[in-house]
This record gives sequence, C-alpha cells and structure tokens, in this order.
Amino acid sequence: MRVVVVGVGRAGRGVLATLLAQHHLVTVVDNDPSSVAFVEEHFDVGIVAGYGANPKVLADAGCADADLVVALTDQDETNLVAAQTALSLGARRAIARVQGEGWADLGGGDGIQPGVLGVNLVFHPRVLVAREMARVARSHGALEVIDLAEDAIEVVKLPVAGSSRYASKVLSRLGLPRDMIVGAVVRDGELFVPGGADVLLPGDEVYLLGRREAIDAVQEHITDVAVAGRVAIVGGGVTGFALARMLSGMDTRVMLIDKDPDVAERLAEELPKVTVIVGDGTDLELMREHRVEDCDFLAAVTEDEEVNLLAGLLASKLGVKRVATVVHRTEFHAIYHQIGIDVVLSPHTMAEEQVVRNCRDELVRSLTVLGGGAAEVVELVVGPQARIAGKTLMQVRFPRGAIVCALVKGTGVVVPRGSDIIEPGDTAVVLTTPEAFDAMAWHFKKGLF
Amino acid sequence: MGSSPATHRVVARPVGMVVLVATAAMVLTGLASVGLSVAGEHGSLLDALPLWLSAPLGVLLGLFLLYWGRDIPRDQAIDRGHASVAVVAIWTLLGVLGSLPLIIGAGTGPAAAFFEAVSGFTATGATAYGDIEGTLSHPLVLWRAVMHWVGGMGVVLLFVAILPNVGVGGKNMFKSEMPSVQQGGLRPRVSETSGVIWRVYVGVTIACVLTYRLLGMDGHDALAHGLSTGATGGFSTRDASLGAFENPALEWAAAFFMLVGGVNYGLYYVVIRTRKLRVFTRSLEFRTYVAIIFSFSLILTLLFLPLHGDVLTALRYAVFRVATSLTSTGFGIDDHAVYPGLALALMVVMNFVGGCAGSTSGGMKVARLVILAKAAAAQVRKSIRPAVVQVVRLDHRPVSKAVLLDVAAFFFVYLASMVVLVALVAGIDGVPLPTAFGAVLSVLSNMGPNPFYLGADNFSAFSAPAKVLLSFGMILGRLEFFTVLAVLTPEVWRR
Repeated sequence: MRVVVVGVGRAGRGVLATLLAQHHLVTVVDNDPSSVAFVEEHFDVGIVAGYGANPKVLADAGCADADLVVALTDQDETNLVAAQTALSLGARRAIARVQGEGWADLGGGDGIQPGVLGVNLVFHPRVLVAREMARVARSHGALEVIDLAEDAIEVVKLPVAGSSRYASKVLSRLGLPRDMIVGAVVRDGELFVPGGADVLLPGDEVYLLGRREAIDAVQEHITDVAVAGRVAIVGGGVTGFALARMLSGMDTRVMLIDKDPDVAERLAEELPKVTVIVGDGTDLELMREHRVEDCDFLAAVTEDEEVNLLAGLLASKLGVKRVATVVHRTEFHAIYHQIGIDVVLSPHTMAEEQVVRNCRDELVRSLTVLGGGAAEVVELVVGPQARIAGKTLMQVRFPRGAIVCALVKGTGVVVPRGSDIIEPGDTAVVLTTPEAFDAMAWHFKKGLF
Repeated sequence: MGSSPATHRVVARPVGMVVLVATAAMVLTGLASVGLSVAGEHGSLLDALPLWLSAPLGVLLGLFLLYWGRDIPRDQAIDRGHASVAVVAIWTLLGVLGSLPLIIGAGTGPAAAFFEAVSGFTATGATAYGDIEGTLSHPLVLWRAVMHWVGGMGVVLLFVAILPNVGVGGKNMFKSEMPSVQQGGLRPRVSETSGVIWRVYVGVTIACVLTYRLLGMDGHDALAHGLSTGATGGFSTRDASLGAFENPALEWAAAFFMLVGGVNYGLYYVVIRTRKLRVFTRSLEFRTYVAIIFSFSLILTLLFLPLHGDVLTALRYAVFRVATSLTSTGFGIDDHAVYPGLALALMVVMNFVGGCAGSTSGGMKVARLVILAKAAAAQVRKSIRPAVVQVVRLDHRPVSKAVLLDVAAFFFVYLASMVVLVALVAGIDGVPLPTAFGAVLSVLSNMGPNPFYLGADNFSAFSAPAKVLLSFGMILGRLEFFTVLAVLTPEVWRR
C-alpha cells in the first residue's frame, strides 16, 4: 500500500517504523530540516521537504495514487487542510490528527469521528488516551483495553494474581465462558500464543479477547483488583478533562488537580460532579491533605513528562492501588513499567494505532499491535475462493502462534469453536505473531483449484 | 541495554549475501559459456571449468559469512558506520572472488588476478594482461565482462533491488556505494528506485548487446562488449579493443551507449515516473554534460582532421574518444601515440570530470564540477561586494552549505589521494612521474587505458605491490573516497 505521512514528529516516527515493518511504501512530507534529516538517516522512505498543506508539495509526494494519507503535523488546521487537499488530488483515504482543546468534543467526546469536513477520519489522541484510561479504571486491574470490530469485541490485558483461581491450572479445564478466549500470554517479557494444554502462572500477563460481557465475567477471577471507585486525576488539560467527564458519568468519585487557578475554575464550572483542587500534583502535603492515598486509581496526565512521573511515583508510594501516567516520549514506556507505574499510555501510540487500523489492503486490515509488536490483531475478509472458506477451524491446520479470536458474520460477532464453519463473506479477527503471519494468511488467499 | 555487537559481525550477513549474489553471477556466466559453446562459438565445454571450480569457493565464503553473523538479530540496525565497513568489505571480497577463475584458469599471479577482478567490478577496465586473446579462454573473457556489469551500476544496488525490504540498512549501504551530490524535490525510497534503475540498466545493456550483434559481432563478442559498454567498463575481448573490429557503425553505436551510461540514472527514474522528457533539459548537470560532449567533440574533430583526412572519420574518432574518456569506459579504437599533445590533454581533463553523478561512470562527476564552479564564481563576486548574500543554486534549488563543504572536501580528497598514490607508485616501481600519474588517474577515475603509462595499454609491467595498491585506488575512486576513508577512522570500529 502507498502511504503518505505528513509531519514526522514523535508520533510520525513511530508510525513510520510500524508502517515499514508491515512493508508499506511510505513517502514523508515535512517542513522541518532536522526532522527530514532524521528520517533520511533512519528510514528508507521517500521524502519531500515542504509545507504539508501545499497542493504542489502533496502532489510531489504522490498523493494522487496514495492509498492512505496521514496528517500528523503539530497544527490541527494544517492537518485538516492537508487531508482535504490530498483527497482532492485523488488519494483514496485521508485521516488527520487533532490535538487542540477546541476539538475535545470530537465524536461526542469519543475522540474519533469519521467524515469531519470531508476527511475520512479525524482523531484526537489525547481524548483516546482518556477513553482507554477510563476503561482501565473501570476494569478489574486491566493494563490495556482495546475495542475491536466496531466495539463488538475487546482485547483486555490483565496481570494474573497469585490468588487467582485460574492460576496453575490447564487452560482447557478452566471452564472459560464461550464468548472469549485467552489470546496471548506474556511471561518473563516473552509473548506466546497458548494452546489448550498451557498453564497460567502468577505474574503472567494475559490478553483476553472476546465479548465484553464474557470478559467482564472472568476478570475478577484472574486479578485481585476491584473496579476503581475513587479516582484522582493530575492535570486538567484535554486528557484530564475528558477522563474526568467520562468517569464522573460512570458513578465514580473523581478528584481533579490542576495548578492553574483559572483552568481549575473553568473545569469546576463544566464538571459539576468532580472535585476540582488547585495545586501541584507533586506536592506531598497537598496529596495527603486531600487523602489521595484512599484512591483506587490515580491518573497523571499533564503535558509535562517529569510531573507525570513524579506524581505517579508519589501516588504509588502513598498506597494508591493502581497508577496510570501519560508518557510523551514513547521510548520511556518500558522504563516506566520497571519503576512501578502500572499503566502507561501515550497519545503517540494512540495515533499509531489509528494509522495502522486505517491501512487497508484487499485482504488484511491490521487492528492493533500487542506487546510492542510481539503480536498483532488483524482482520481478514474471507473471500468466496479463500482456502479456508466453507471449512471448520478443526479442518484447517492453523499455524502455532495464530488464533482466530472472532468471526464477524452478517448476524453478529461470534467467538468461534473448532466446529464453527467459516463462511465466505465473514470477517475473521485473528491474533498472530509475526512469525506465524504468512502461514496464517495463506489460508485466506485464493486456493489454486 | 546490552552493548552493541562488534562491527565486523554486524556486517557479516549483508556482505555474505552479496558474495552469494556475485557467485550466482559467476554460475550464470558458466551457463552462458556452456550455451555459447553448444552454439559453436566457444572452444570447448571444458573452458568453463575454472568458473565451476571457483563458484563453490564463493558459496563457501558466503555461507561462512552468514554463519559468522548468525547471532546478530535480524532487526539489528546497520548504521552509516556499519554500512561503510560492509561496502568496503564487499568490494574487496568481490576482488578476491573474481580473481579465483583467473588464477585457476589462466595461472595468473594472485596480485595480477586481484587487480584484474577489482578493475572488473569497479568498471575501470584497466587490464593486467598484455595478451588477452592468447592467455584467456572465452569463458574467462566473458567473466571479466560480467564483473564489469555486476559492479557497473553497483553490486549493493543489485542486492537492494533483488531483496526488497532490506530497510534502512540497505539504504545506508546504497548511499555508501553511490554517494549522491544533491537531491531536490522527491527523494525516493531506495528500495523502489533501485528496482527501476536496475531495469533501465538491464534494458540499456540488452539494447546494446542486440545492436552489436546486428552490426556483425558474433554472440560472444556482442555479449561481452555489451556488458562492458552498459557498465562503461572497458574490458574487451581483443587486445586491440573495439578497434579490432574495424567497423565504423559499431564504433558509433559503442559511443552512443557509453554516453547513455554516463547520464544520471536517477534522471531516467524520474522520467519513467513522471513521463516527462523535460526532466532532462531541466537538469543543469545533464545540460552541462551534453555541452561538454559537443564542445570537446568539436575541438577534437578539428585536432584530428590533419590525421584522418575526411571530416566524418575525424568526427567519429573524436566522438568515440569523448565518449570513452568522459564516461571513463576505456575502449580504444586506435593508438594514442599519434595524437597531438592538446588532444591528449583534453582527454585527461575529461578523465578528471567523468560523467554525471549517479551514472555508471567514474571521475569527479559533472554535478560536483558545476557546484564547484558556481561556488568559485560566488566567492569571486563576494570578494568585490562582501555585503551581497551569495547563493549557489543547482536546478533552481539553493545548494546548502553542507553540500558545498562536502563537494569542496571531495575535491581536496581526490587531489590529495592522487598525489599520495602517485608518490607511492613512483616510489615502489621507480617508474617515471608521467607514467605513475597516468596509472593513478586511470584507476582513481575508473578510466582504464589512458594515454600515459609505459607505452602499452595495460598494467602488466607494474610490480605486485603496485598492482594491489592500484587496485585499492580503483575501489577508492569507485566508492568516491569518503566511504573507504571512513573505514580507516577508529570511530567506525570502536563502539
């Protein structure tokens, strides 16, 4: 697929790495000489130096025959105009990122909306971060919650607690509900796709895939964490505001801390159910005074990397059960985990995920990447002549490392068993490791006969 | 974070892969020889034996390198430093690999065989053989031409073209093999351009081979000369080079294809992508290249007129000389000795200049010359009116200070390398200075035969150490200096 990426800041570079790993043909447009030099040095992509919304620059970059144009500059207006221009030049699909406060209610507060001003998809990564944080806070200790197939199924990453009644038992004997599966297990930093004979051990992290109700039902048996009832949020920016609004609508008691009195004033006006506190989220006295240690969940979501880290560590020391922070430099992800931050989310990875999801090819559409690229969830359309069409999962020798998590049929979504028939026209949601990908995709290609 | 793996291990796999690619070319040469032999053009089937004996050694070398680098993770980044080491290692090892059939088949000494093979892969065309027709069997002659062709457009480019998705490591290696001077507009993906450039290269070569065949060469001569011309190399099947065929039409065709090879292949790529011929006329480098061809042909015609009598003959000799000198091919059609000093001087000037950047030719490259000239002019204007801001432009785009500095440094390194090598060659072999200068200019500009050394058009008289030194001179010139010199810096190895 031909992809043009307009703007290669932090998010853009992450997007480039992912796109190239999936063998897309990428051309980059950027105005900033140092960004251009960086990309030139680190990626094999086409490069056009110039202003991203200029039609001539976009034409030079080959937008006329691009399958996807992604606008990721720092200016929201530039992104929207770039996407519109690309579409007018003949690009098949164009998506744009926005970051400003004025766009916080995009898609009714969901942070994502198709068809804004003619652009196929506009997304607000900061609001998307808030959305995932809200899901995590409302779950039993999930580390990630990702919606797939138009929210019909979800992926949840959970740590296995020592007290879990599923720990140390063979998977096939657990009696898991019908509408979900254990898609992948991370043990000692290595991700693998388990078979029926594998055992979950305390300390593992598992990826559950399936219908939300089914996953909700097993969550509490895997972890020992309760749904957060009291939440503290440090930072009243776009993410903090969106998160406070989402959680306060779900009967959670929310405390929001921001150091700017004017911002705090406005937040208090707009969020009647939220307790807004003026102060520094890294001030120990203030935290004690407002009994932050009684919170089940603290989210540090300011624009300042150091403040987030410090607030997170402080909360964790005070005894807050789960701590989530926003990280802007994605390379710090792993380090944050090591020093005890439970959930680390980044607007840049949200942007990356949106781009990956919008990379359609005739056969495969990538939905999300798990465990930093150790596995991927993809959607494959079952064509009438696909090898797998008309067969049951038991009849097909699916490679180890790949697993069909869900079938989207005309009638709805099912989590398949070995005896379910895969019919032409179905869409299969498959979790696969990169090694198993080709062998897995073979089954969805046209057979020789 | 663990410590990063040693440089030589990181580069082992890509180097091993390229060695295997070159070995595949050797096998194909053997098969072609068998084909030509069955068609009755090569002496005997056994003549290709040296190639069959050398190929397994190439495979062993390649596999050993792959084995050596087996612990390096697939996604290990190949940065610029690694790429320099890889590319220099590739070109040195190709010299070793290419010399094997010559050592086995013709009993050539290792130094002479290495010289010949490096001359082959760098498309220099300087030969260590005084008597090609008497010493080398047909398959070996063909192998020399194949070496030209594989190296002519760049063996890394071939590697990147047949193995897409080599990623930024491939891109870095490609840049180390073929430094570009300046790029404006779309800077395309290496994995995409390499494929297109190779297809153009193959197309030009096939057209050239067919033209030679139609103009009366037999299959063997047409194939060998076609490969050699496409790469602007210069190896011939005859001691008297193209002149041995005494066919004016052939000489015109050879001149044409040499000049085609001297054009920046990046321009062909843009023309194919945009389908606009204007691309050529918009490029100042191309316009300068054409201007040099016309003006030098005109002057040489006037100088040759007293020797050849009629205008058409003089013009043919002049154009051929311009083509072979400017694109550093090195085919000959007559003896230099008869020409006046001014004509020889002009040929030397063209040796220095070379063809366009991104072409198969050697030398300093027209683009660098244009930039240097413009920078010099700007400097002169600045000395008169220091307050006026002077901007050097190429194709309407300003040339950045970094590029200017790069070109100036290149010019210095080119001349400094020449001085050092001339001194070394003259010192080692005790040859007269003009001879040493001629030999060094010949190898640094990847020219091959030129009107200087020892009277004859070959390097057989040089000693073994001088031949090895001159071989590295060819690699130095082919990789345009910086890559080779970078490998000599401690930073590349110490990490």
